Amino acid sequence: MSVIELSDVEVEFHRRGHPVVRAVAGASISVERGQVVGLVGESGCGKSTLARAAVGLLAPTAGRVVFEGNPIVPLTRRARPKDQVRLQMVFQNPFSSLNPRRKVGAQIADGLESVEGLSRAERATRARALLERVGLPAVAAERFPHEFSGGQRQRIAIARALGAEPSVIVLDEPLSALDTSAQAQIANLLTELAADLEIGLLLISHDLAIVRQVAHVVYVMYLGVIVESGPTENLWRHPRHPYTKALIAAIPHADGAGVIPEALPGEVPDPARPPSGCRFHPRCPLAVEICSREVPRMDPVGAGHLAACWRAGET
Amino acid sequence: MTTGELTVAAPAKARPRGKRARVLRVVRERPLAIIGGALVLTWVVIAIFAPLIAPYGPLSQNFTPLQHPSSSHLFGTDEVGRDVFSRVLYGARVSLPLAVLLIGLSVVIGVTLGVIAGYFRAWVDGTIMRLTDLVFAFPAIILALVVTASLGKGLQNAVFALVIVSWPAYARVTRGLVLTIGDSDYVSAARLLGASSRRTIVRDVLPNFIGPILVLAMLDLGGAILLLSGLSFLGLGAQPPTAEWGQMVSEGIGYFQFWWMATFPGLAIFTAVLAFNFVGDSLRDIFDPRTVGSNRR
Amino acid sequence: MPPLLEVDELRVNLPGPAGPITVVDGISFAVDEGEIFGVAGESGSGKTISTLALLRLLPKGATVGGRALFDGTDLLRLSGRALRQRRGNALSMVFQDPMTSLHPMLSIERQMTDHVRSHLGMRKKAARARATELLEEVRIPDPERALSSYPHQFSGGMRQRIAIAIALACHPSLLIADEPTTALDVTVQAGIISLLAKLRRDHGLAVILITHDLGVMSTIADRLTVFYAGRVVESGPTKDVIQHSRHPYTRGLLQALPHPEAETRALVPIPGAPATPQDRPDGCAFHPRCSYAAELCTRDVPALVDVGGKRRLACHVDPFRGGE
Repeated sequence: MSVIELSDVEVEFHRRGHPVVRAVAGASISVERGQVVGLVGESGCGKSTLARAAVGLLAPTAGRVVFEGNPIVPLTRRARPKDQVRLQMVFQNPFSSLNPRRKVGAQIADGLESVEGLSRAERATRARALLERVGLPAVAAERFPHEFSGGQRQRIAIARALGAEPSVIVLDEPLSALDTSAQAQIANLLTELAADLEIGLLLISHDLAIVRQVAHVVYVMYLGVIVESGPTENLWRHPRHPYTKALIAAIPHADGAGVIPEALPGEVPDPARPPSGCRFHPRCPLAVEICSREVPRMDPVGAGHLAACWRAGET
Repeated sequence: MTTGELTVAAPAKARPRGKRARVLRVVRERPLAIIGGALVLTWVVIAIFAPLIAPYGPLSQNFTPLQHPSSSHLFGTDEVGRDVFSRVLYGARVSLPLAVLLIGLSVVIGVTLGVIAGYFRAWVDGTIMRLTDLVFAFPAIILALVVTASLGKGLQNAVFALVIVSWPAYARVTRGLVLTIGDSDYVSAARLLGASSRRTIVRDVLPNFIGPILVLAMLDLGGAILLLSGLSFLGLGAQPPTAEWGQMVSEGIGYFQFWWMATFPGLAIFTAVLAFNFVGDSLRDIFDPRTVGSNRR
Repeated sequence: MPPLLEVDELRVNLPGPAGPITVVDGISFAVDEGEIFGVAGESGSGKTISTLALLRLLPKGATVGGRALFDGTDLLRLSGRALRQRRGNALSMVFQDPMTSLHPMLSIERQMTDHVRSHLGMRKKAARARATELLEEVRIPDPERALSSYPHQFSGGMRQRIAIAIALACHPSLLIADEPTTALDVTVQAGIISLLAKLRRDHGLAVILITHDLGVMSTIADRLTVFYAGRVVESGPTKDVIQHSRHPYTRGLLQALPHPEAETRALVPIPGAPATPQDRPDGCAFHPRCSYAAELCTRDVPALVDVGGKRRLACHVDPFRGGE
């Protein structure tokens, strides 16, 4: 049973005098307890928008998000409904996701306010415990965010999310602003938390290599749609969608071999004017006539492995 | 268990503790801060202790009128025989508290409306902004004149008029800051954790814009003194025989050859405004968040 | 053949809240003509500051020591006119963020021709022709149209190509590329890497490629230097340094990367965080995080020594000597 499920979610942006931009044009994702789901894609694919819609920061224009069996209500001026607080988010930029003027401990305690029956002192104690859980010393609670490095701040952000006793955490590029050392440390922390606390993680990243190591299931997104999904190893070894293949082929390997990876020709189209039919067809080496006419569906190509390509069966 | 980065204790050694160190550094590097601070302090002391410092009362007319500055009358005497020095000192008791009151009220009104506009946006924002537009459409002094003219002369009404004229700037600035802050991730995070709007505004938004607003307010104190003196100069604020700088300058101009009557009150205005401006500038440096430990690769 | 650029004991101090901070602590390296020279390191390693020092683009209050011989002249001793003549001309630089490295208000033509006209004294028509030629070189489609466009009309990858085109305008012999692909998508990154390789092939352009990404480094860098806390810890031919790294830090960096053949989900990080210039440990700056650290490492800064095979290493312990 999935703990969060996005069904055919669409998100549109309207600006007066400009064409409507469908940043997300129908995406379906499901995450189970204790599962790490990776969502990969490059700039302009809509993954961040999808992340925000998944937690309720943005209202989807179509489709639904069901969390713990109930449809979620996007954020309004009122306080967020209590049962949605267990759906949390960690943001990309560790330098702007913490309030610079409040102590770290206080910010973590914010999450604990949603837990019933805790006194102020108990919240403070738990906040310190959460800091230790994410690998920081308890005394960090008395410090301010600017006293910490990027990696440490991400840990604090994770501790804050954990305070709400979440069952799902959506992480929007949590590792991209970090050094290599910190990336590995935080990635490990996330894997541990997912396993130990049975939290479902939706990990959004443009770094395929890390997602490959850490995620159980991967979704690949291009220009607002999911083009392929499946268990990580399968997807990696037998990618079926040409875009997935291109992504994999473009990754440089730290092997000293002097091999220049393949570039994907062309540019990402303007999301306001997406290509007809399959959105990837103008750049696709395998494109045929049907690709420009009809939108391919996500069809099974293996166990739990789906791809939206008219020619997926052939490769 | 993943090993965390246990270097949290270290920063305290190399980097002097936040605010206090910043204050000391600013003072060392900006002599204007010291001069300004000293001047402000001087005027505050004068305002509080004028009755003890001033040789004579502000209204005592027992002396020979229009005397040159001398050892017994440091700034000379005015046309009705009052000691100008004492009147200048007592003038601080009028200008300073009223300037503070003026700015204080403007800040409270302006910030409240600005926060509401910036946080809730939509039609509330539109309405408040149109209101500020309305006020901005009039030159400050003219509007102040109109209000005092209709309500009657006197310092109280002058302050009231000036508050009406001053709050929109604070509303605008606050709104701008709140709009930016409202988009930041930490505000989103707070809302996701279930905080109500009110909570979020108080805990997450306010502390992040109050710094620049306070700096603005300090800089405006100088301007407030100027505006109050200006209205009094025009006869709409302080009324004779109240010892108020603007009013004294106004009178003194009529007695041009007795230069001390206008000059000293004028200098008082000048030094007080300058002092607040210097301090305001330095405050800005203290409040500016440093980009500490930026993890640029 | 003497190296194109020879940096000797470069030292950079930046003003800090509690006195000057040594950000670059005696770095030496050499770049040959037509070579792609990689500088690898994380934040606080001093890699960007050292190259900014070469171009004299440091913030006010910075002090610089050492020598940087470029084509016989010491860049660090140049000033005024002589410096301006070299900068952007024989030596140019491309920065990380293509969103902010182009002037948002000037047309591409303007940005490219201004540059060429001031350095090479070309006339307008000739400058325009040169600009078109350069855009073609960096594979911008429809160069004529691109010239009259503005930066915001281009994607990140295109902007980076334009930035490279501008940097190439005066036929430099050395291009410093500071994290040129970090802000770009992986599919676009591959294109920029190919472009740099092509420029080296076709024009003999030497490149100092600064990046923390050892994968990118692997693709085109001929030689590689690893910086840590303002010092060089290891250098040598890229293949050797990556396949047979000898410094514990280099090994740690490589191990911390995700591995296709990994058996578990856990990555192998280097414990702790990179040393910052403000908190540089005594002795070898890496010792608090090093599993091989000995007592000597806590006291003495290891010197960068030749260890054969054109490689240099700064490590007292040298635990991987003998290849492994």
